[in-house]
Amino acid sequence: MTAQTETRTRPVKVIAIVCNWCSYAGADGAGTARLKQPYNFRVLRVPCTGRIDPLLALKAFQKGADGVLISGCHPGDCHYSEGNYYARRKFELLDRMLPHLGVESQRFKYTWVSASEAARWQSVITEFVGHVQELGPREGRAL
Amino acid sequence: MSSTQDAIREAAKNALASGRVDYFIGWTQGHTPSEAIPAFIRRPEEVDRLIWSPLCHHNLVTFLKRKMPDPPESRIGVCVKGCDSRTLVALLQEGLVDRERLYVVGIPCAGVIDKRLVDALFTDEVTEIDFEGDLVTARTRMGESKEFALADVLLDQCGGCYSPNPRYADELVGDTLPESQGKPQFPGLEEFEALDSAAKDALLAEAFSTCIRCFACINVCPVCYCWDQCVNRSRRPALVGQKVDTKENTLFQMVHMFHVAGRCPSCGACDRACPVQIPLYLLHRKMNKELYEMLGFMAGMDVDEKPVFQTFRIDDVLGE
Amino acid sequence: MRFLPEGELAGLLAALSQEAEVWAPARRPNGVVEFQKWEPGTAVELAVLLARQAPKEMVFPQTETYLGYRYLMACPAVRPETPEEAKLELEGEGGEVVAVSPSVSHQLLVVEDVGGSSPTRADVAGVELPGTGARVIFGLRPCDARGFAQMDNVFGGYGGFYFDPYYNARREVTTLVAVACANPRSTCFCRAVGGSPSGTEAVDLLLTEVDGGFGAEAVSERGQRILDYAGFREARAEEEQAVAAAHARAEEAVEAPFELEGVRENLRANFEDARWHDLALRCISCGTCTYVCPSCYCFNINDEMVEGRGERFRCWDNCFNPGYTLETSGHNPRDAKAARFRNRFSHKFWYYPEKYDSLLCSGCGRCIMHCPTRIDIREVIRTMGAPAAELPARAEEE
Repeated sequence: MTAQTETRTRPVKVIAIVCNWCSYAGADGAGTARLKQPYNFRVLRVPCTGRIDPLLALKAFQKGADGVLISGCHPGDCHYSEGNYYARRKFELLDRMLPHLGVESQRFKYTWVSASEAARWQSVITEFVGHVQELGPREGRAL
Repeated sequence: MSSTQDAIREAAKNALASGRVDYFIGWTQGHTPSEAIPAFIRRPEEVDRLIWSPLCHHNLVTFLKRKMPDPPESRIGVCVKGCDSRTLVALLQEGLVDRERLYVVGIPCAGVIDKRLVDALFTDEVTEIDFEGDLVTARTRMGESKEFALADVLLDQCGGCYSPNPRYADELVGDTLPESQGKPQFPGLEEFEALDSAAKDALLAEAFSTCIRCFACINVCPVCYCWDQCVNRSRRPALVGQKVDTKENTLFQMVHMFHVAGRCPSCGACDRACPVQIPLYLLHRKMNKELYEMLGFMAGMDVDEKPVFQTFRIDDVLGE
Repeated sequence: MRFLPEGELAGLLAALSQEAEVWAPARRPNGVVEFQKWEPGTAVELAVLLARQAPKEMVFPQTETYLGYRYLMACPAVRPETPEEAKLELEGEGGEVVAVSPSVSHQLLVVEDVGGSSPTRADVAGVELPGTGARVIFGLRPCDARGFAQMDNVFGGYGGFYFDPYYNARREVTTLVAVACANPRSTCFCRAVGGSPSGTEAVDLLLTEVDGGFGAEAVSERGQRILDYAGFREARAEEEQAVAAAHARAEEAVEAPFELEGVRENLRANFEDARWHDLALRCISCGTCTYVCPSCYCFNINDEMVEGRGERFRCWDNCFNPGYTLETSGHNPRDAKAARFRNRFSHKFWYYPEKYDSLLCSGCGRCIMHCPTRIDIREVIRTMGAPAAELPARAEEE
């Protein structure tokens, strides 16, 4: 196998940044329920999506992540009442800008998964990692 | 034009003589008559140094942000053009400058020139630029001279300017210009937008590979105010690498872009300050275009408005 | 004097590039003139007086890696109990143990080869053109070359100070082929700081553009050897005259905007003067002036790591950077903008001259050209380098 094909076929690395109160609990629930999930994503737990600076997603891409997923409580359900409303505006802008910064739009997603939605977490992460794997690893990009 | 200049001098004189301000910031001639530079006037009898011409591109609001006034509690008079005033409004919206310490002289602006476009017409150094109505005459040190239309060397953003009149001022000098009708323009983006993802990446990589991390873009930006605490400088945590290479430079610029989102009205100060001519306008203007399409938002239009990322609507129609 | 007809220039560069890397000013796609590696077909841009940046990066790169390392053990559960154990484990890795502490597992470092060990004076002595790694910088100006001479003092062990192997490994194999300035800019002030548009300090070979080609004068033995390349011929009398006339014309065109006499003492006397604050008002405290400067040499050393692998490197730093003087306590003795501003000029005209008996400024004027607010070093020295009694009055003092 040449180095090039190896690069193209290696499993992608996906970073999932999730809020403590909903999506982390949802992902935890999916694990407890033994729902089958991709193995090549890593979870970062933060107190609230409102805390996530777009820089964290950019930094992940820059340091070699092939995809970044951000997930929090559904609008209206934020543990801190309104953090995810602020987050929604920020990530919508990031989502719109990334394709212009050399990151294909399928590599970034922000969504909402509640603590009780283990099955939804399973489908979100499976689908997302699948899309990123289709695009393959990111190599030799500026960002 | 000269009547506006007289009015600026008059306003500065009054503000200084009455003791309303400690110093007054306007523009004066640089080391040659082809440059205008920021001027800091402390005495009423010095106001004749102040000038007004399409060379006055500097956004003087930069000198109001934290750590810039000296001494820090100074009361300051300042000249603002239309786009400059929007950066001032953005600072006022967030309570980052004290309105009581300012005396703002607003100037309706029909556009300032892009000195880089003039320089590109000559190999020799341009040392003199004169304005006669819509005609510009530039002369070089060796005596070469060329004439061209003002419209040909204006900053590209000035053509479709949405806010030629100041959005905030204590005193207005000069004649108000017709307000722009319809949607704001975001010129110069078509070519970039048409590229595919890899081509955009290649374009940005070439541009950022030349970045020397001098912080001119960040420090000259009137709405980028973290100063010493800039995350680009932070070593603990070391979020942005200090190595000067394309990858780190790209993140460095992304930090600036996203951190001024909601305050940046694309005044272009960063673009003009860059010593290696990175097309920073591309990113900032593109971001503002997206913000406008997303929420109909334009930065710094109204002092009483909340900045776009410090508020929300439950019914924002975004994402899922 | 020798003479290089215009048509022979590309041939000379091609011949030189056979034996050394040739760097010359050329336009980037965005029109900016920078020193770039010359290849056949590269158009050398000499009409623009100064390249955007001085070629100091050729000998003092903006980022330079000292060493690479990686964490051997991330998990305390498997960490070795004693240094000897740790060393055993490392021997299989083929690296060199630089720090072993049994109590803190993350101090187990393996140094990796990142492209040669650091050179010493013995390594860099005697490396000459032509030879591996040799470089010719073509088309720099006499002020750019003077910047090298000023940095040489700092990195070259002047007066028994530190000898920097990284800098000297490059410096020793670099040949400077300067082209005398024909049309100085309004920002040029080399004469005020003891230079000249046709100066030869640190220059190996000086070319002067005249009708039909270049007059060539070797300054060093290295320069002399370049004159042996094909293309050069003996200069005719009228060509020698033209060269002399060009030098005189350029000399005339450079203004001498301040007197050096007494500047050092006056800067010291005016150290606490409030006018520093007036001058610094316009400063935005970026570092553009220092990075485009041919002689600003400050640097910082950093460790950065991703996924257990890291590098120790040095990168340019400047006195406007808050980290430049930030102390570990969190206190920053140069917190105010004016204090940082004062340092740059005092360093160039007072601190450095006191230590090395020369100036740290060659008068190229890049800092004036590229400053976003056009802060003028001539104005600063004129003002703050004057005797206290002659300083302009301030509003508060009336």
